[in-house]
Amino acid sequence: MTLTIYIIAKNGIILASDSRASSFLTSNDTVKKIFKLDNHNAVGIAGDGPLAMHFFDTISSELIFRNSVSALAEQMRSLGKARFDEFFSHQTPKDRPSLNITLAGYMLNGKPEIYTLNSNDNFVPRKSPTGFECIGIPIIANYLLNRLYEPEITTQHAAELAAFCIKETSSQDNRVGGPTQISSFSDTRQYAELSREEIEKIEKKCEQFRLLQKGNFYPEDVSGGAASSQDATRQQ
Amino acid sequence: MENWTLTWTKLTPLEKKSVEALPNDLPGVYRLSYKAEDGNYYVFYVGKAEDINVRLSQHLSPNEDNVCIKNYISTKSCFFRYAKITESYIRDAAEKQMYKQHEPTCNDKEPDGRDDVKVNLT
Repeated sequence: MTLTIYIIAKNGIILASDSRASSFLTSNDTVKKIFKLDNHNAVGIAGDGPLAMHFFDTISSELIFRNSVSALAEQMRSLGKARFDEFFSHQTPKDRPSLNITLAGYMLNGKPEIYTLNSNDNFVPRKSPTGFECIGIPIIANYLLNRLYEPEITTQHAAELAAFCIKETSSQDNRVGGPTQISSFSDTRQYAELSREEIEKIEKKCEQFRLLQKGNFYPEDVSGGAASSQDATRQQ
Repeated sequence: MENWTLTWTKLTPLEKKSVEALPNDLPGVYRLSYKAEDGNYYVFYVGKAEDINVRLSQHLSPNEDNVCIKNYISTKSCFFRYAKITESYIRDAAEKQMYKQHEPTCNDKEPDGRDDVKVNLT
């Protein structure tokens, strides 16, 4: 399974994902789930990964990027519906594989926007009203982003927040995991993937974040304790 | 799985006098806590040392490099309790277990330690 996160920061857009593909018995931690469409538009995927890769291979040459991201979303809806009807004409819509896509980019006025498109829903684009979007296994990340996201966040800290959401989710759900992938772009800055070293630095910082003051639920027992301590003894 | 019984001391004010009263060469694990406005004592740091006396003295020293601990000590009523542990791998495991229970604000990261060694934390 997958967790892919998009965050709109005040100076750009951050995309992040885990890299785990899991099936009933196996998992693989090398799967790429965020992709550059052009220098200022990108997509993230959840669902059938191999299908998604082929899907984008077949439609990318037909996409026109000179217009806004909303126009791009509409092109993807149209191409997505046509391709799926062609790929899976032998299956009823409810029996077809599921593909979730998150698309992020800029309007002509420089405003960033995120859209989600789902194959089960004919790829009808839905615009994110919150400034962030999660697909795959989104519950924990949505909770964290609802609590922690503010539009004033910078791309640097949005990358840390996204990595934190992925790590928290992977700590609770083993369908999310493997090395984190993070990319960033803006209307003036080209799409770029963060290096492994940059991501490791971010993840190290995430280890210091405290989601909850867990210790508040475990205060010291004031009444207990000895005057001095004997050495530890092993129980048989 | 190894189970070890620790003898935890009473909560004691974290101040020079009480730290100096500790035996020398005392290996073990310890917790630092502060008294909150609700009357409870919340843990803000867990640690281990080959000599708890020396380690707690370092925390009280102006040269303490953990700014978080320094802030607590300078602004709150702080306390400690410890348990003597001679074996270093038991200290490591106990420190990790305390960290997992409290996730203390002033510890930078989860300590290394065996998960198959269990100790009592109270």
